Amino acid sequence: MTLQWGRSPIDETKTDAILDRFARGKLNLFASLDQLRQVYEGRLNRKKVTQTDFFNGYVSTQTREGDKVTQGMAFDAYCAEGSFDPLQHKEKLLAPLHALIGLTEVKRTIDELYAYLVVQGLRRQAGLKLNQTVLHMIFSGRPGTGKTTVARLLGPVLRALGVLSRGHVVEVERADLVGEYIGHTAQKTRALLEQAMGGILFIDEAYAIARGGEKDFGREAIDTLVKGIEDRNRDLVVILAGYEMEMKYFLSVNPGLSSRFPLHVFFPDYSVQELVQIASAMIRERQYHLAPDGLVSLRQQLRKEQMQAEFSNARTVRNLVERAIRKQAVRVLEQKEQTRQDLMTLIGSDFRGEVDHESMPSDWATGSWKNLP
Amino acid sequence: MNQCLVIGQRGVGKTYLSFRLAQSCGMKSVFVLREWEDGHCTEHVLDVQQTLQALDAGESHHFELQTIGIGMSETMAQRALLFDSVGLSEESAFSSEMRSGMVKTQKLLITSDSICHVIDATSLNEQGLSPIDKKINLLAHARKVPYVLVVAKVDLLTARRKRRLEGMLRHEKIFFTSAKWNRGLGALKHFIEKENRENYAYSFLSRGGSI
Repeated sequence: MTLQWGRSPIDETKTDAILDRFARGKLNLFASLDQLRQVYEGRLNRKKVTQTDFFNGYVSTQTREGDKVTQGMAFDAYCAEGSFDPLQHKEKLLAPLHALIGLTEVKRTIDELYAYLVVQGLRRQAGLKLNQTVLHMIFSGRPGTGKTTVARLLGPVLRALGVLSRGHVVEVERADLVGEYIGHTAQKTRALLEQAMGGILFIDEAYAIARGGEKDFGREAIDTLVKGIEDRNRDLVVILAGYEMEMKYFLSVNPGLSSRFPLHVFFPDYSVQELVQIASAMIRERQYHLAPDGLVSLRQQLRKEQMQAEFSNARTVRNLVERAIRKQAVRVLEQKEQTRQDLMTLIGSDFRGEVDHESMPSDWATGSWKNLP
Repeated sequence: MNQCLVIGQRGVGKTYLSFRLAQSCGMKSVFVLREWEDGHCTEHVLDVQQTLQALDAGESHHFELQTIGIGMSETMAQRALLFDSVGLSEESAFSSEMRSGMVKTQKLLITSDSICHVIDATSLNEQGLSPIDKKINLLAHARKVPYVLVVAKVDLLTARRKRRLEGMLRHEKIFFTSAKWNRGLGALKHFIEKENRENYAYSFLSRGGSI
């Protein structure tokens, strides 16, 4: 799925001027709507040709047609161009990330990254030397720990900081990168890199690319990726995500990979308390609520699940909640009368029993990763 | 919180549709903020069923803007705000009260995160959308926000006419609904839910997280 964040920003001054003229009777409704459309079509066209970057020297500030833009002006997705102050807007920008349950270490890493990028901008304004910064990252952690979610939230943040011009996230996996015949893989990988320009290329379960052995086209995909990253080190962030052990093996396949991905972010498992918080939020959001014994059962079940090898954190919680809802439905139907309260309440017995581990990686099931170096 | 504008001409059934949407989200009562034509603002907690019955009985309303908070089931405790706006029409723009309501509607057309454009199925002719609906459509597309065309009162159409309309409006994302008979609202609800989920981060950031 590709998330697009490419909406035209709101031009309040022009909008208010047009609406003011309409309110005073100087414009009729048709003319007012027409003028508003012209404002927003205009803004969109202007945005298409503007690609402003944050790091001067390392990344220059130029439009695609080569017109010079005021140096040091970060492209801002949410405010009028040039008026964005990253120091003031930090809380607002990182609010969706901070709203996630748990992930303390990840949030701290992103905070550090934010501070670093802002300071780089300030250093540039002060005429100081800039560090060569590569923002390609590796997200490692067990399934369901929020790797994809964090990647999706990073796009707008990096865009607002001017590191990326579009901030969209292109999510791909092995099948999107690896082709079927000689030459096909490089073509597919290059096309995806092009598509991701200005945003984030998020390669989920990246280790799978190197899975096929010496003769597999996966190697070609990795080589093309390494070359592509080298050629497009501006306006593109590549994130490789996967389970920790598998990612270590993956990085050992191509020695060039490890050095090109300097940022390693580890997503730890959630604690039981955090998992209960996630479950409660999911239950509340589905308009159900937990009976007191339901909470006890949920906690017990989560502790039990945590011991399993195929435990997938938030995804297991989701499965647990969904199965409880199904069991609750059967239970409620067996009653003679169903009150509104019955329809909403999840009790202890709804949470007991086995959970389907649909998210279990197939490699773990076959044990093919056990023999890895 | 995603902000969805319900827009359209006068008398196409925007208010009825909004309350039906709240009902299909499982809400029995809704918190409503009403801004009236004389400038004052009132807060209400309305029983959805009773309000629908009153609207069915032909009760008229004279507010400029009605903001309805609805709970969404698929999003992590994120609620959506439905803006039930004043109908846009050139004839009613002569009255100063209506004009100020229309200013609010146009402002919301620029600031909201998604747009539900309601049109009356029976008023569509062979030329397609009416001039005012065309203008709304073009402006929404220029803003590149999620936009959906809701063809209301579809129960008054024959199957053949409905197919004809589907062909005419094939380039748009359309939902045929009948708020009176509660038809087609599930799909519309899912659309708003999906936008609410995907654009939560965007809407939060774009207004500085101040909502």
